[in-house]
Amino acid sequence: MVLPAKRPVWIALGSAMIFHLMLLSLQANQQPGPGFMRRWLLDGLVPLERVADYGVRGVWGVWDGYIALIHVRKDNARLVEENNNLKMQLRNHEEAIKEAERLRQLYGLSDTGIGKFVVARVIGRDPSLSLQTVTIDRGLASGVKLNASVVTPDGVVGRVMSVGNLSAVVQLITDAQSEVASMLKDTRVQAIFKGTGSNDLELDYIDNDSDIVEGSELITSGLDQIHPKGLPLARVTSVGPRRGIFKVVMARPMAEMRRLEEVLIIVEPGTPPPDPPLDAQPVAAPTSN
Amino acid sequence: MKRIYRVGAIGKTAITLVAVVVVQGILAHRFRVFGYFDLPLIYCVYYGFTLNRPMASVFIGSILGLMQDSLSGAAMGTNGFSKTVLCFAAASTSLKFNVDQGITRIIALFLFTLADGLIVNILGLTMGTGHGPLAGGRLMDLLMSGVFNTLLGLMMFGIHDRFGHAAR
Repeated sequence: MVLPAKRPVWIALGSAMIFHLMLLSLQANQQPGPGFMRRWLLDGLVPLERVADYGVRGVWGVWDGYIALIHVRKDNARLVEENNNLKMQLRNHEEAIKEAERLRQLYGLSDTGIGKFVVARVIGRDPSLSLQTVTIDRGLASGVKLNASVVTPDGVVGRVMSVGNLSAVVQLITDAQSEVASMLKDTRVQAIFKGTGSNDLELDYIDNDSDIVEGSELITSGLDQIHPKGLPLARVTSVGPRRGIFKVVMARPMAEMRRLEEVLIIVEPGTPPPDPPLDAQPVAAPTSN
Repeated sequence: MKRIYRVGAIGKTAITLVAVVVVQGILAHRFRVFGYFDLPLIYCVYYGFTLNRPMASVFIGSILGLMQDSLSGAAMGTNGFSKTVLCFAAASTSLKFNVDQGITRIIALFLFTLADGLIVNILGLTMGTGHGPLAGGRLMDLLMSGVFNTLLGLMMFGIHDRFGHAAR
């Protein structure tokens, strides 16, 4: 029998548990969105996280810039040489770029870039250990929208899964709940790119007779209405044995998920690049019987 | 005077709660190994064992869990439910058992970590946002998390025992 003195504790516990279960039940069968409680908490916590992140970056900067200087001279020499090579390549390409720009204007084509984007800084990672998400320091006030695609120059990172006024939470493509519509860059074979919770991702719906090989590059197909078409996604690392009528294909993302510092959030998708011309087989003339 | 003291204690606790969640997020981003720690859970157990207040533990667990959910993108209430139950369990355990023993703390920290992982996983599966059953690599990650949480928790208790007793 519960003693009267302890009853308020059990009432408090019961009320808290019911409150959390009701909160969960409100989100069942619904798209996860910026509920008022999540938005308030995000707007309250993320500025503090940002301040703390600045502090950590400052300390890291002092360490990297003034104390941990091993291999800096060798790295510097390598970077100078690489920079010189890139400058020469750039000069060679400048004329081609100017010509392409003239032709684009001539034919009235719009810029085939990724569209309008916002740069954001990653200031935190999932503190609950169960999801692959990161927190960024841009939100609704900067034009970030729910389900916006998040990328880096290397490749796709994920999508915005919840957004506050000043910050947002990004679900990485490595998260087990993540699925991205993709295709092979060379053969244009469509597939679904699924996260597994680790850095290895699985490709679904690859036919056994498709000619996918290790090293094949995957890009977004745009069919999920989230990621613009043509963005680099991953590279195939292994093509395994059959599982039913499909192959088991594993891949690694192009973007370095563990070293995310700045990301781009696409707020207005641009014009997707045209598909490359396929090698057409000559069509046999129909024979009449 | 008593009211001022109480407001001060509440303020200090609130700042600590926010700091725990914020630090967890930043450290998990900067250092991969911190992905195995669960500072809010360690704080829950530490608070429950050292202050022995089940009522306050319920609210602290609730708030910590909701803040974790908001920063992680998990369904709101997942970690809230888990931390509420575990915080209360820690405080209740401290009232019934002697939790000053090292072995008790080791077992408690490890088991609470496993329980947290299990509750969150069950709620995730119920909501349809889970990652499947706890098996293989995920189970190993949870066990590693238990070990790391136990080590960090023991350090915190050690500091509390050394400086908390010296202050009295």
